[in-house]
Amino acid sequence: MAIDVDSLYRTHGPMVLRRCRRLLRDEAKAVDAMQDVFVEILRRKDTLDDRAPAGLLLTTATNLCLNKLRTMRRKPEDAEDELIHKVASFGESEGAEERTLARRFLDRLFQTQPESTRLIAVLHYVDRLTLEEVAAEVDMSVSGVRKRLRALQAAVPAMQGVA
Amino acid sequence: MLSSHVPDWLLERLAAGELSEGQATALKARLEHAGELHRLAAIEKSNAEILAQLPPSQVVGEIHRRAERAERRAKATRVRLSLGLATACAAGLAVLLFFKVDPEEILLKGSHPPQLRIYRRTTQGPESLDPRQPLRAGDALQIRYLSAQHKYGVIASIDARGTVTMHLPERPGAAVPLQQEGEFALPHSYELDDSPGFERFLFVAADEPFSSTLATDILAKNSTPSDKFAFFAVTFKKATP
Repeated sequence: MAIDVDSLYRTHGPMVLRRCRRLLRDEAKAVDAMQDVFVEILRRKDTLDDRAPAGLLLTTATNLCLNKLRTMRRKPEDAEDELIHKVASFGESEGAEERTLARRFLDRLFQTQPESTRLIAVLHYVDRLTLEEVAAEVDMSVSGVRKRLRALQAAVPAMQGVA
Repeated sequence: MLSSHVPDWLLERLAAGELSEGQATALKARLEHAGELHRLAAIEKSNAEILAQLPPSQVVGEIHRRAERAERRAKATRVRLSLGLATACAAGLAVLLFFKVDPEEILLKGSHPPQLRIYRRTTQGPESLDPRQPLRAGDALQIRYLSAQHKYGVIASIDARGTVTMHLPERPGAAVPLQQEGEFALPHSYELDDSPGFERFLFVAADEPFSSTLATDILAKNSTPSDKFAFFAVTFKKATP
């Protein structure tokens, strides 16, 4: 897809920044991340289509912010922030003593699609989209989304009981 | 039955005009039912505020700069991988490309050497770093220099994978005329990637024009320049994520 960054930023830049602000809770890092989202879009321009730029930018921003949160190591500010951190850290390798066979199996299970699983979790638990809405956003069946979330809850004990 | 609360995610897509007519109508009905139609107006207001605070003239150039830098890094990585593979094949051995550099060291040369000062951007403002403080992937660094009255300079850095990044100038070329007074901050911050090990910064300065390749060669070969140049080099360890 041909990308006119100036036009794309004027129409969608503020939306991307709001998304990064919400996930990162740090203005300077959010501005940095917002710019990186557009860099990522430029990098992948040959494989993207322009049917839903807002959805694409929001998805890219979410994945990029979750990756940044994994390296930021700051203390969560509140319950929602803590939840975002837990989702962000999903799939991180741990010490051998902490890894159970089930966890290793699930890590392997999600290794092929870790970003989409984290995106599903953020959309449902943080953004409060219903299962049907999440399914529409990620182009999956509702049962597929439910299955991913169940597996995530099983893999991350801290997320059990989260509505 | 759907909840009447409209998530920000869907609100943004509605405001962007990206939903189907049916979805948009249903979402607007939910907003009205919840007495939240004002959230759409708030998005319009926020858009205007953000574009005023971060105008396209400022941001778009930075995006292109970052994209070019990322492309250069990607190309450098491809070249290193090709070289590594070719060497490994020739020798029949696996090759690891690592530069032997002592972390935390500061090297100076010249009767009045220039200086680099590295700051980490934080929510509380810039944090001055010394080489005993490890850097982390994702750190946004601000590079400042003191010219010590030298007229021309080049600033570059290298990571443990051997990737060289130009900071001043941002592309290979002629050394840049230096600000003569006080501590001068480069206009763009530098975000560290996940390369492990270390990041070594080098500032080469002289009173005559010279090419930036001098600095990149010094970094790549871990050497020192001739006596007509002054330089400052500092190496930071990188913490393992």
